[in-house]
Amino acid sequence: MLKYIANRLLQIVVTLFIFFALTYFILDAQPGDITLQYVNNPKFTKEQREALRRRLGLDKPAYVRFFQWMGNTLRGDLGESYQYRKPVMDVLLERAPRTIFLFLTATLIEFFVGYWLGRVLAWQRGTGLEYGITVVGAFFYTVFTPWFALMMIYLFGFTLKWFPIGKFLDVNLWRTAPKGLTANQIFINLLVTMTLLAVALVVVYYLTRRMNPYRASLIRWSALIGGAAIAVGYWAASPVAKYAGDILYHMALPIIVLTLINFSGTMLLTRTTMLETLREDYIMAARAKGLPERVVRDKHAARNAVLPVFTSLIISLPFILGGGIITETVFSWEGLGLTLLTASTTGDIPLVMGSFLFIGTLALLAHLVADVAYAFLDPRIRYA
Amino acid sequence: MKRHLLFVFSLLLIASMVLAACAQATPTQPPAGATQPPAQEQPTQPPAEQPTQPTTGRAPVIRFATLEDMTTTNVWALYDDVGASYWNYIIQSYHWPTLFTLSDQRFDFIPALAADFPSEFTQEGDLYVATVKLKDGLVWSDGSPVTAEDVAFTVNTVLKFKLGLNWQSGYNPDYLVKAEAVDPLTVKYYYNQIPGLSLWQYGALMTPFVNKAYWEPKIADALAIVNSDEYKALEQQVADLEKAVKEGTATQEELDAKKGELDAKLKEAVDILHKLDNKGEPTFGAWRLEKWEVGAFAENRVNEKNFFIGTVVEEYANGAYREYKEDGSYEFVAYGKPEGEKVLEYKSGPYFDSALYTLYGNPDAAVLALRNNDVDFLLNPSGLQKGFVDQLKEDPNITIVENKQNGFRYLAFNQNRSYFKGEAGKALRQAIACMIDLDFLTQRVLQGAVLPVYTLVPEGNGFWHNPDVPKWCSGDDTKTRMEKAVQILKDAGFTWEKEPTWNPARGGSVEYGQGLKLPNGEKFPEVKLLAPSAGYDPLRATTGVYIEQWMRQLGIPATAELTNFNNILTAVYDTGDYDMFILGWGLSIYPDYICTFFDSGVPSNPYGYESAALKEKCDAFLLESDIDKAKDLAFEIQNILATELPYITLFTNPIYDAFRNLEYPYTEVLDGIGSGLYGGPTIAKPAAQ
Repeated sequence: MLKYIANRLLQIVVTLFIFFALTYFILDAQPGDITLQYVNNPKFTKEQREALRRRLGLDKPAYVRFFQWMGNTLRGDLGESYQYRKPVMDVLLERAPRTIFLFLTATLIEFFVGYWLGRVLAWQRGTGLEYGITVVGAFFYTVFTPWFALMMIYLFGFTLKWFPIGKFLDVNLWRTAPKGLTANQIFINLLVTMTLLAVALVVVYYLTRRMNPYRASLIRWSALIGGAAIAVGYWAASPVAKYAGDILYHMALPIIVLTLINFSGTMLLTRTTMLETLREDYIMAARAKGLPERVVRDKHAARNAVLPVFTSLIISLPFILGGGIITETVFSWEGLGLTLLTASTTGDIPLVMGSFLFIGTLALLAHLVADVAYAFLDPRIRYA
Repeated sequence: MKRHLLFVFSLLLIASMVLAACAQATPTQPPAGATQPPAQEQPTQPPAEQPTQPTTGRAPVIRFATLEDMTTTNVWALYDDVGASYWNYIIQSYHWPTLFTLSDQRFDFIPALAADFPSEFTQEGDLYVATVKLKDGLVWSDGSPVTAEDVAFTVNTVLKFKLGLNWQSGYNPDYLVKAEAVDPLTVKYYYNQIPGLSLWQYGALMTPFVNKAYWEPKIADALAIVNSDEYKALEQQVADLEKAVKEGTATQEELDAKKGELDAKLKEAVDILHKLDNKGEPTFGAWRLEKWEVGAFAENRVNEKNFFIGTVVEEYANGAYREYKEDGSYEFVAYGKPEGEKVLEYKSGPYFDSALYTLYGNPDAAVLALRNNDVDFLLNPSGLQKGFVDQLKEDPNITIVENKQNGFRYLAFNQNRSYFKGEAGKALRQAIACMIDLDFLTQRVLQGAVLPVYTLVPEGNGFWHNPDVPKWCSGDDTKTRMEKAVQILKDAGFTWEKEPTWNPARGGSVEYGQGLKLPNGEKFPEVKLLAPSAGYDPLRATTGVYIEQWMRQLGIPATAELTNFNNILTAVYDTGDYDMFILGWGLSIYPDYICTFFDSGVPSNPYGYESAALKEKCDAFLLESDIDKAKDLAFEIQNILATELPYITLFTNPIYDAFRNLEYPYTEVLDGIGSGLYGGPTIAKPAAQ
């Protein structure tokens, strides 16, 4: 296994180099550079433009700049954003918490909704329920996202006024916030809370996996409710409760939209893999043993069907860093997605490369994690 | 089982303890050394007032929707190329003072912090000097006096660091040598020649200045670099090399290498300057930055120490300008006796305690927010799109205002190409201008969404606009246009295999010319007209297609290529590989652009257009310090440009603003309220219920 991991890590390094080189040269091949955005000002002379290009290092050939970037990156310096004139890392850290919190929450919710519905669909195959849910799922899966998101804002934000029209906070509340309190602090603490809760639930799941399904289910639900109660209690008692509540309130509509748009992918994948699993001999054996249908479904069929679904979840997690350009734009959620979009269109190469560095590295590592996790999830898999 | 349960609850207990530990770090003070940069919040003084407890008699807040975030609050970066953006300026341009400004609506040159108009220039040794006196008793937001030292410090700092763009156009190092404080209220400027209006009245005197006491210690590190022996030695070496290159004793490569070293050193210093924290910086304007939550909103609060709060402004039909305080403590009058009909009168605000700028990721959301009464005004540099205007018109609580834009769209030619060059090229451009029926284009094709423009200074800029420039074939019908265009080309020596003719059948139409030949007998080559794609700007895309056809009617084998905006900019400003293009300009009030666009001495001219007549007039115009003489020259220059046609001006878009809950003392303003006045937070009042 160790040899396999070492080999994969080596492959990752090579793949990353190719990925970075391609990305860099493709970005550089775009017409113009960041200094073009100033030429609409008649007072921006050619000399000023040349001086700016020299200041940004754009007067050097692309391959020189690429190797400089690689060298600096290996030393932990991602360079400076052309637009913001501050370290790329600062720009990313400024925007990452709000993107990660929104998209991680949405991804987990849509994964669980999709997984749960997929199980139901496979089990209820051929019924009206299956057709109904599949049609609804296919509709949301294929709907034009910007239009749908705008319609949701129009309906729930503008007409019904149940949710705010975009943004991640209420300015009227936040302009009176205590000095020093920033939305990023709340986002980070919410992320810590969510991570702790998730870790606790995974541990509970691991510890209860060999128990009687009914008892295990009871404990898991108790842990979930108990953990959630503690988290809510902690935040309710916090002096910044209203600010956290405000952020959660602003998250509600984007999460609903993201879940509706994305759940069916996981749902259909789960359904397909589960249908295959249901044809396996061991399912028949489990039934022949007289096990209850729920045990057959949850313990024998669903657990074996979860493998590709789990892989899909793991691989999708790194892309959370990229955010959703459409979602962030429509919901005015100024995160990494919007930053990446602006950086790409204005030719802010260091910022784009910085974003891709994280996304690319994490994506490849996620593949590795998924492969390694296979060995743990499925005892039949062994790596030579 | 019990063991398992115990373990689970132990874990939950540990989790709750960790959370409890975090709870102490959550509060109002960010943890020291936190890696996440906090939202920029400034300045810290005076302490934030709770907006819900107004004590000033003002309304609590005026709410703007914005579409992009600020990128910097550092004044050195803000007026340099780094920070020069509409989205930075709408929030921060009110913070720093200038000595002079332009009056409302009429754009008269009037003192701001200056007590009166500047002195005449006199010669002192090799230099030319003028002085400006500041108003007495002015204070910064921290209560310290505004002095001539502040102005001189700013000018000399900008010159020392060779700061660019807006700093440079104000304090231009090619002409301005230094500034010094003669006494606490008198600042003296030293120029190497008598500066024209664009350098002096509309340049240095309208460029912001900062608080010396705050910034002087802060810039010490950056200053140390440009004052170092190493830097001075590099400067000397570059100067020596420049001389040596001229004498032929050194190569250009050697000079470039040394310049590169000097640039790198200067960059190091400027980077320090651009990144200096400006927390607590004293400012002067009616607003000061209270809070900036990155990616969400920014808030300005009233600077109660601002001198101009409560000042009454009057403009008279006879041209007179007057501003005064009602308690009699201040009065300034210019441009005649303030008597007769008042065309404008208002009392300067702010009428709100705060100005709140909320960021929306897209115009749809911002428009919904306006309709939902979440904001009062939607800010956008190009105003509202027509589609949004139609939506908002249905809401009786929303006011839509239409204004003229100080800008135009134009067709330009690459005169580095032989077929657009010289007298024949001029005739060709005139013939094309004759074929372009601007009235038909703007009224019929573009459905009245735009207004035709015949000269580079749009009609909205009334003082500088020359209404009597040549308007090629204006008012003629299609047949006459075609005939006149053909005659212009014939006179210049162009010939055809098949000349364009008028076919009277079915109401009449032009029979397209074929095989156009240049005066030297060569066949006119295929040419491309670059225009923005319909997705970016349907008006210019449509115009491009029509111009293609008009050119084809003359037998010019033109093809409109509707392409990405950046592709056009790259072709025009980088590769120079283009024939014609359609782009647009947003303009300043003072029309020095009529020269800077085309002066071959200025390297921002990418068109290869050279004109001795224009150069002569421009040399005089740019150095002219008398406004009436400058106006005459500007009119002559417009005449030259409308004749020689380096640009064929096409149209200008009206600009639309939408707001609610607000009243303005005037809404007719060039470039609109959102673009021209940045939303006018200082003059806006809460609407009467």
